[in-house]
Amino acid sequence: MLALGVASRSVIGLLGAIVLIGMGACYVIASLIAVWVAIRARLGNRHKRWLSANGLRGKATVVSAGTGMTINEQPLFELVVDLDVPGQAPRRIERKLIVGSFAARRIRPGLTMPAYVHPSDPEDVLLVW
Amino acid sequence: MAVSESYAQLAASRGLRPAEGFAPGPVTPLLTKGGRIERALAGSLADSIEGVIGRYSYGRFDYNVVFARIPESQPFVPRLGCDRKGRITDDTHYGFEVRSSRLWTESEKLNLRFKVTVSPFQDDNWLRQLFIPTFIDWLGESSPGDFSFELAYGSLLCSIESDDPGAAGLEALWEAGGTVARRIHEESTE
Repeated sequence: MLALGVASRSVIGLLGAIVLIGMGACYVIASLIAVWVAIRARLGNRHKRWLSANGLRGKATVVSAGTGMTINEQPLFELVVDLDVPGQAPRRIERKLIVGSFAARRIRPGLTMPAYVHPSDPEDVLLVW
Repeated sequence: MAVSESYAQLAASRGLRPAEGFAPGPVTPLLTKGGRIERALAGSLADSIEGVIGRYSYGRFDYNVVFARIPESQPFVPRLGCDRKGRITDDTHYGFEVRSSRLWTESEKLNLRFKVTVSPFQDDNWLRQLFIPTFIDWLGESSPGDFSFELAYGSLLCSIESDDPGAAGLEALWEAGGTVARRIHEESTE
């Protein structure tokens, strides 16, 4: 009887330790994900700044704009735009873009916005809204 | 002088025509406040640009504003706010959302009187070309004391905060609106 009590306490203690370790691991994983997201966003913004300073400047005219979901209370747009960059053939591209709520009310077919294209990668396009 | 007399005097001196019912919609930050433009007068603002001047009111706030469409600016500057420092429009945040804007602080002279906000990835070279020294000098020294302007996707709104600026104040606002509209138009079509 005594041995059974000691054994059950040991099992409970072990389970408690496992739960604590699991919770700690969850916190560590969540923190790592948050750090990774922050680093990714920072690198992404750095690249966009580089593109706006060094890219080929053109314009993008909205052909269609649809939105269905929001990320951090900002609408995610699925845009189809006609890209017109000096020195390049005009082309139509699709892009997903998270925009602020003021811009979201203004983005509609016919709107034109600045666009930058990477000098050596035509798929690398920055739309400035 | 009553506000209506000031507007009548402006209409006569500038050859403006009534534009009652003018409602551009929530196309600039100030216009998203949901007010109405009354006493609207329309006419040639600058070069080929048509403008409308009127009294814009929402809640307890009254402005006198000049509105114009400059769609040729869209491919160069989607959003540009040039707000008088210290302007209070509401108890809530005013202007483009902070997290999707950045301050443009290159001109110290401009920063003395105005807070300039643009898109985060706005071309700074184009802004430098827009804000040429003579334009900055004019904004800093000769524009009306409570003057601000905002440009959003081709819609320009210039405003002063005075309740009743008188005919001279409205003349100055119309003139200032024309100066800003002309500068943006010129730089966008150069």
